[in-house]
Amino acid sequence: MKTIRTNKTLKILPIIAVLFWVGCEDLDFPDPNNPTDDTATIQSLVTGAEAAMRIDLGVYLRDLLVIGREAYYLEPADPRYTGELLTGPIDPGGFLCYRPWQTAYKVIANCENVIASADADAGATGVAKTLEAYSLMRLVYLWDTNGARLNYDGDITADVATKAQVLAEIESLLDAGYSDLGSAGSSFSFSLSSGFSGFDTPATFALFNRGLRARVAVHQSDWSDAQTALDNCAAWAGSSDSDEGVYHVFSSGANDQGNEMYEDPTATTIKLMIHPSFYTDADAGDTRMSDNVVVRADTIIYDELESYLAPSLYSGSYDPVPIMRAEELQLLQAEVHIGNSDYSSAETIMNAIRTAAGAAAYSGTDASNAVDRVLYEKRYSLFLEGHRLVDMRHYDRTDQLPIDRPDRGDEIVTFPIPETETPG
Amino acid sequence: MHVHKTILFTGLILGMAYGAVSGVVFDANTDEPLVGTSVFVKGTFVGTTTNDQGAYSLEAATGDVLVVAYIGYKTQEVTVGDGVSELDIALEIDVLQQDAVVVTGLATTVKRRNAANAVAVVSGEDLVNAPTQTLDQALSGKFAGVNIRRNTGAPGGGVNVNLRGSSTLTGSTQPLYVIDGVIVNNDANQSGVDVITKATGAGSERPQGQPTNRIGDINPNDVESIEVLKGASAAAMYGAKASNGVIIINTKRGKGGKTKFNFSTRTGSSSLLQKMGHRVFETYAEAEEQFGADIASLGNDANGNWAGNDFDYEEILYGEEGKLTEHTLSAIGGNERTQFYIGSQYMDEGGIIVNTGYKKLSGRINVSHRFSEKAKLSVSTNLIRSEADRGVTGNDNTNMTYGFSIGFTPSFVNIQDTDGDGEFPDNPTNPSNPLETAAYFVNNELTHRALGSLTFDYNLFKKANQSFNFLAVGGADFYNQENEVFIPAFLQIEEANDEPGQSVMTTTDNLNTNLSLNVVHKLKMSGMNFTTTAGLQYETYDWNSVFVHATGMIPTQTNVDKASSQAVYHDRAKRQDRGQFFQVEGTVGENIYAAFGMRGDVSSTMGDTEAMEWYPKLAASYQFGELAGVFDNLKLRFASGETGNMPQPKAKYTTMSSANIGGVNGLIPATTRGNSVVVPERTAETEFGVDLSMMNGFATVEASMYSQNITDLILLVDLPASSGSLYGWENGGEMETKGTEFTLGLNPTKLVSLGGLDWNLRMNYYTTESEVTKLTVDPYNFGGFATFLGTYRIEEGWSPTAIVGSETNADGSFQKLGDENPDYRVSFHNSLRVGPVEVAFLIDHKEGGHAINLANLIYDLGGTTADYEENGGDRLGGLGAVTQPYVESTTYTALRDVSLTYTLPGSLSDKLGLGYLKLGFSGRNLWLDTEYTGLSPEVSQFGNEAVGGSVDTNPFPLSKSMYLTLSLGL
Repeated sequence: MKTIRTNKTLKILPIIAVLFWVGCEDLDFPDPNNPTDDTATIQSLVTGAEAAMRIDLGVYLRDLLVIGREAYYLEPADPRYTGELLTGPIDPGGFLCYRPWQTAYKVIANCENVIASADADAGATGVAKTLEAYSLMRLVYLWDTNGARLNYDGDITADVATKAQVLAEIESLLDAGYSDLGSAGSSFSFSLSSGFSGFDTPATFALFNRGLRARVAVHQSDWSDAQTALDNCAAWAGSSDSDEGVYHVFSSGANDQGNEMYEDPTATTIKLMIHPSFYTDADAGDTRMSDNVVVRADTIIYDELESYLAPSLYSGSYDPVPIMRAEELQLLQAEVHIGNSDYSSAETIMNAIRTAAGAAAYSGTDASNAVDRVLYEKRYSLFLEGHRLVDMRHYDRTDQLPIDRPDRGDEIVTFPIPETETPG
Repeated sequence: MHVHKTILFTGLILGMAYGAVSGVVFDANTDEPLVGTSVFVKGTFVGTTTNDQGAYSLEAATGDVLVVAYIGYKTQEVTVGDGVSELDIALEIDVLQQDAVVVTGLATTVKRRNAANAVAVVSGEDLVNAPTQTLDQALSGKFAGVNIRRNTGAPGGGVNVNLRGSSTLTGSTQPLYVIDGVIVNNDANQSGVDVITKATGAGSERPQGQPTNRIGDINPNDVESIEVLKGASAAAMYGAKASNGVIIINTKRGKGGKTKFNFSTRTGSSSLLQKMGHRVFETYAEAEEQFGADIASLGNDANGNWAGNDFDYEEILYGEEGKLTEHTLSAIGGNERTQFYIGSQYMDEGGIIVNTGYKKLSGRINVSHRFSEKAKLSVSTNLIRSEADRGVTGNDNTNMTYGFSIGFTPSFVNIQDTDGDGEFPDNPTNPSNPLETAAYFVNNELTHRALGSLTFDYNLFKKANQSFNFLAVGGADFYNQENEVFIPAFLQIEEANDEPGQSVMTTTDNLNTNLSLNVVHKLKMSGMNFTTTAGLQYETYDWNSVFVHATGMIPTQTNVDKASSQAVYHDRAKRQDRGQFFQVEGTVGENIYAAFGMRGDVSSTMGDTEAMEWYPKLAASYQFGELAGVFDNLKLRFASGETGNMPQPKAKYTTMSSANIGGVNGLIPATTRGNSVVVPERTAETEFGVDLSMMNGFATVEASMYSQNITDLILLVDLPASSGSLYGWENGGEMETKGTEFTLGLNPTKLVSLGGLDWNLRMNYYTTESEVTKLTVDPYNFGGFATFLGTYRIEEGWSPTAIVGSETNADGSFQKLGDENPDYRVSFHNSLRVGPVEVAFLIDHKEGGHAINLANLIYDLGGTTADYEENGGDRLGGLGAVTQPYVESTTYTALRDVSLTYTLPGSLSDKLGLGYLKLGFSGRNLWLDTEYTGLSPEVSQFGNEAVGGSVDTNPFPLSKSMYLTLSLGL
């Protein structure tokens, strides 16, 4: 009897099993990891754009610093920093090239999303257009005459825009953004990070917009547009604090990131080493050199490059990195004066900065030395901010940048358009 | 009672005289009774199994043929003579495994002699001749068509198992592992080392750090046999998950009879197998030229003369003696209704670098119970704890890993802790002192795993010529893997950090579940047998990993909360699959076998979760039997079938990524754009083969040719970054893989007697060749680090594993510099036995194949390569235009395993009260011959990536190991 009962129980098992199978879960479920596009809000897009500007900021700055002969990046784990970045040709598929490109377009994608969004108010579009222009400006810094893409739809058969077209787009975005900010009321409907502290209302953010407008105009020697823009942000340019400005900020918070430029200057080996000419070219007493570099007892040699200068501009992994500071605006003003042949006004501005830095004041600034002088001031005032290469290009002086290894074919390289951006 | 009725019924139908036949089934060699042997009347389902004493009894008519079958023995057929009522039957061990069954479906098997595919089977005994840390390593050289590559020599493994060449460019490359009918997990999880070495970020699409494979947890000693379904034609019944083949592992089941205990203990040691070598600086001037005066002067003695120091840091760092201890204990026994196997293993193997090693503790209980004639239940449970300390090796963007650091440390510089106080000098030429790092770096992986499976076989009805069974198999596989990576703040490498000291804690858990419900109908009629099966499968995969990276550690503390900052990553992967299948198989007489089947699959990973993907199969074989007085058997076979490879679970989703600033949530476009219509990759394979056995088993040959057509290849295509994303998933390519496999077994002593010597030789030879036949996107480079550092090229008409570099032709097309895929592989397994002594060894040869040897580049950059003066400068100088010098052939010959066993004569072991006693010496990877200049010609920085793996950035070096084994039975 017992056996029979067992068999009956066992007979039911197949039926139970089939019922169990039928009851199994649905196969169509959402991504367990990430939100979909429709989750994005104006706030998350603006914050995302601001955060994305810092992605691979280290690579972007190193590219500019190494090509501009401001620094070496002695990275034994990757020969490209001391190889193609100095000798060319740049690998259009390599990270030195595609990472800064990709960062700029991530920011642009977010900005475009904001601009296209029905939820965006004038403040949001004003910010988005300004940040988009800033990202395009970073592309011009590295890609220069090779241009950049202005179509964001992934169509690689469309022509790559020329440098002139990109500059025109930057100007038009900045001007449109400025106009939007003018009608955006007294406050934003979203928040910006502390990097925009003091520039976080439509009126003050507009100062940043004009600062960028002045920069792009100066780079084109468009002195009158530059002067107009500088006049529109005079409140900032005239600040008693030369560091007042807009910054990339960092933190150890979730999904945030750190300052990739920081290294302890006293560590046995470090990677970002300052070009020795920064030391030898400095004027006596100039604290912009002595305060920002550590002269090491040892010389680090790698790949036929040598340096004893370690940067000490940053003191920690979360120090902010400038996007634009008042001091730059002052120097842009000096450049405009020089462009307009007003050398004494330029000298006044430069001397104020030099005196503050402990260097002897200039006298006799004239057409023969004005550009040299303003380039020196920009080089030392905007140390590690990545403007030297662009300034040297602007004045057609890249041939004055030091070439350390002529036998290796070192030259001043221009970045190629990344290989995924063109067919073939 | 039911059984008797059936027999009565049969007897009446046949109208023959019948009566009770009884007897004992025993082993022809040992005379031991075989408990649980199945005895049945040929052509019917009338039968029984032998009891605890090996005895059977059934009703049979005169002239009936009794078929007596037991696993591992040749099936015996005995005709019931007139008036015979007692019939004792002796079974012989099936050395050639012709009567072994091989899998044809999810619930069915066929005798190997009928099989339509070349299904390779290896017994558990052959696996553990020389011990391996992990199961997958033990497969090396044992099968034709199974290409095994150790990605690293690090404890705990990291092994690429490739069956029959490439079938994917982006998908999983690893075969499906099925243990006791249940799909088990073979994840390779990122350890977190990548983040500290900055080789790549957390959750990278292309993790480095050479992770372990979870299949390595399985104790090889528990394995009864391994069957390898190499291609789509054999694996079609596994559908959308089987395009890389299926490895079916059967663990030991109990046998009825006296309980037998097996105990073995091993001790051994391992040491470095191959070195890179280094440059010796003969003079101060030579050092000064390379490193400048500051560094060169470190090579001077107190008097300022060149001291001529030459510290061999490979020897110093890789020179630990890895000690091994292994104990295994198993018990096997049961009675006619209940059988059990209990297996346990303890293994502790030290690595050849300080603070590295592997430990495993495994316990298994397998129990089978027959409730009645109709119902049988088998349960398997396995608990495992495995732990690996792996050091820090391989690619690096911080110059922390051992290989990198040594490459940047000239041998005249002394970085040793000379006074032994645990404090090491700073390395003047590299950001880290590898000796210091090795002494304090922690990279520990601890896995706890539980596997369970349950098989329920129920006979719904049985008649004389047909039976109908229900078979349910359910299983679960759960693991928890904890990776702890810790680098203390006081190390040189941390000095430059503003928050020195880092700790990474990764906790990964995963649950796989399986349920398979099948019905099996068998029909026998006039010399023909038909087996029809149908079934449903349901599988889930639920993976969850949380990763915390802490920086700025409080001195002495390792917990991730004792830090100044933390970054957290959380990743999940979830998959649910449903399948259904139907299959009919038939045999006509002994000669003809044919099968047809169809499997349908639908999965959560497919873009359309409603559209069933169908995978057909068709197979046939014909046996000529004895032929021409030479062939014992000759078989022609043909099989054709299709399988799939699932898209990655995330491939179908287009989402946004998190990018926060100042504590506010931000979203940006995801790097990879999903594809909402993605479908599995599909492999269609046709296989032809000839199997033969000659001259009374003197020679056996198994030869196969196959051709695979792979369509709907899933590509991770480059998108222009100007669109906001970098990559996108696309079904956009086709590929063709062709190959031949040839296995020759020789038993010369069957032909000529060599004084009691029994000699078996087996050779496995195979080739595979793949070609991309269609691409819907432009050809592209993939894998490696950059084109000029060597990369793979995906282009129509090319092998998918072709390697290119900077070199281009005049028209801009790339020059092929090499190919990861070997020209052929061949292995020779020899086993010789004279009386109590048995010697076995396996030689494994790989001809051709290339790897990108960036280990040489690292040394070249450091100015320390052994041939730096002759070639290093040129290699380096040409970089950017010439990549070829860094692409090297990976041809090698290895003595994989060797063993020498002495078995105490039975009379002596009987006296000692032992079943048997064996003493053995064995060695693994004792010898390697290669021109490859890196640490190992078997290498992959990128783990088991389909394309782009063979990149050498100085992994954990390989070791050779020797063991002494004592095993005994009770």
